[in-house]
Amino acid sequence: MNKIEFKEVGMKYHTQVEETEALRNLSFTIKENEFVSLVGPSGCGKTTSLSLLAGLLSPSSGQVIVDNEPINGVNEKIGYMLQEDYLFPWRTILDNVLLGLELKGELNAKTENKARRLLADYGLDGFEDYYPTQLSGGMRQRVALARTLVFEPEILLLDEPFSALDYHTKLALEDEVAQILRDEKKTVVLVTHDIAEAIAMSDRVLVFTERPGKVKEEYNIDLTIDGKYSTFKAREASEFSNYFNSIWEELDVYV
Amino acid sequence: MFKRLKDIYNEVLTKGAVTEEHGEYLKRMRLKDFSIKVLQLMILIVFTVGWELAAKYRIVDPFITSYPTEIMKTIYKMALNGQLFKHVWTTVYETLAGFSIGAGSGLLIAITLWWSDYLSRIFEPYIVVLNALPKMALGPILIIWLGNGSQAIIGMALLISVIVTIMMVYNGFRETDKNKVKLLKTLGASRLQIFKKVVLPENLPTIFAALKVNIGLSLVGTIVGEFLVSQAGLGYLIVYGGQVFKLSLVMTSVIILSILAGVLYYLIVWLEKRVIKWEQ
Repeated sequence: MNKIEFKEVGMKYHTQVEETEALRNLSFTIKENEFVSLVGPSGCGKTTSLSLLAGLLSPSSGQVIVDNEPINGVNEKIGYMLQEDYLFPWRTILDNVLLGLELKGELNAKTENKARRLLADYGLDGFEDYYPTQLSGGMRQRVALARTLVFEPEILLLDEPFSALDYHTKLALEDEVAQILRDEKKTVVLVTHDIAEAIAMSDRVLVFTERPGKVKEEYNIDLTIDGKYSTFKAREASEFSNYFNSIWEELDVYV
Repeated sequence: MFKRLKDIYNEVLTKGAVTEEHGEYLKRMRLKDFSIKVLQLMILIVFTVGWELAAKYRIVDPFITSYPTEIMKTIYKMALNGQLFKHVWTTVYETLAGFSIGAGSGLLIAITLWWSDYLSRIFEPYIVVLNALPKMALGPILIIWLGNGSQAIIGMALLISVIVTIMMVYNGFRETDKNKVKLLKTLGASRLQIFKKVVLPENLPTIFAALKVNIGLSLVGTIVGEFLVSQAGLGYLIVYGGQVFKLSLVMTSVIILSILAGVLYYLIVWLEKRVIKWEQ
C-alpha cells in the first residue's frame, strides 16, 4: 500500500529579484513501513520535499498525497528531525521530550510515563532533570529522537540528522536509530549527503537530479546480512560497494 | 602561633581543592579576586579621605566642593527630619512607575510588531525617528499636557525608556532561531504557541538586557523631569541646592542617586538570575 505519493510535484520559490525552481515534475511513491533515502547534489530540493510532506509548504503544481489524501495544512502524521537537535536550552531533558505532546494537548500521566520510558530505552535515565547544555552531542540527538517518537508519528522525516555529529557518534547513532525505526515499523524518509549512510539504513535510495529536482534513478537496496541487522553489518555486505559505486557515479560529482 | 595562622590562611584559600596543584590554582585565583575587592575599596577610601583632607586644608574650596563629613551630617539631619525618605521615595516611585509602564507597553508593542510583519513595516520609520529624537525636547509638552507634578515626570521616564525597549525586544524576537520555529510548526503549533514556547523564552536574556538599559534611562527621565518641574525628589534637591549654592545638598543628592542607580540595576540582575536558570 502506498503511504506517500508525489504526483508531478513542482515547486517554485519567489524573491524580489528572482524565481527559483526547486522541483519539477517530481513523482515517486513510498510504501507503508518503507525506509527511503533521498540523496542528490546540494540545493536539489530534498529538504523542500520534506517540507512539502510536513505540510509546511504547498506545492506550486501537482499533488503530495499521504494515505490517499492530498496534504492540506500541517501534516499531523509526521515527526520531523532536523540537522541539529534544536533542544530548548530553557527546558529540562524531560520537558523537551514532552514538547510535542504539550502542543498537541496530549500531555497526561500516561504519555509522560511513556516519555520517561523512551528516555530510559535510549540510555538517558537519570538525565530527565538535566538541561541540554549538560549533555553530549550524541545524547542530545537521542533526546531529539525521543521528542519525535513520543507522540507516535506514522511517518518520520529525517533531514540529515547525523550531519552535525562527530564521526564515531554518527556511526553509533545511525545504527541505534536504524534499529529503533525497524522495530517500531515506521515509514521513514531520510535526506542525506552520506551515500554509505543511505545504503546502510534504507530499503530504497532515490537519487535526485540537480535543480530543478526530480528522481533520476532509484535503487532497491538488498544486502546479504548474517543474523541480526545492523548498519555495521550492512556496510560489510558484499553488495554494499556495488551500490556505493553506482550511486556515486549517478551523482556525477565534480569538484 | 604564626605558623598556625599561616595554616589557617592556606586552608581557607585552598578550600575545595582536589589535588595539591588544584589547590595552588585556587589559591592564585582567590588571591587575585581578593586583591580586586581590596583595591576597589581602597579607591573609595583614598578618594573620600583625600576629598576630606583637601577641603580641610583648603587645597580646594569647601564652599563649592563640600566634603564627606559635611555630607554625612546632611544625610543624618535629613534622615532625622524625614526629608531623606520623602525625596528618595519620590524619585524611586517615579522611576519605577515610568520604568514599569515603559517596559510593559514596550513589550506589548514589540509583540504586536512581531505578530504582524505588515504593521512593523508600516511603523518602522516612525519608530526610527522617535528613537533618534531627544526625548527631553518633549518635556514642555508633557508638562502642559500632564500638569507640573509627578505625572509629567513619570511620562518623561516612560518616553525615554519605551522606544529602546521596543527596538531591542522586537529585534530579538525577529532573530529567533528559524529552525526552532520550524520544529514547532511541524508539531502543529499555533502562532500563540510559537510565541509562548520559543520566541518569549529564547528572548528572555534580550528582554533583561533591555530592562537593564531601561532602569538607567528611566532614572535619567525622572531626574530630567524633576529638574523641569517638581517640589520633591533628588532631581529637585539638586536643582534647588544649586540655585541657593548649598553644595553639600547637591553632593549629598548626587551620592544618594549613585547608590540608588546601583541598587535598581542590581535588582534587575537579581531578578534575571531568578528567572533565567538554564544559563550557568
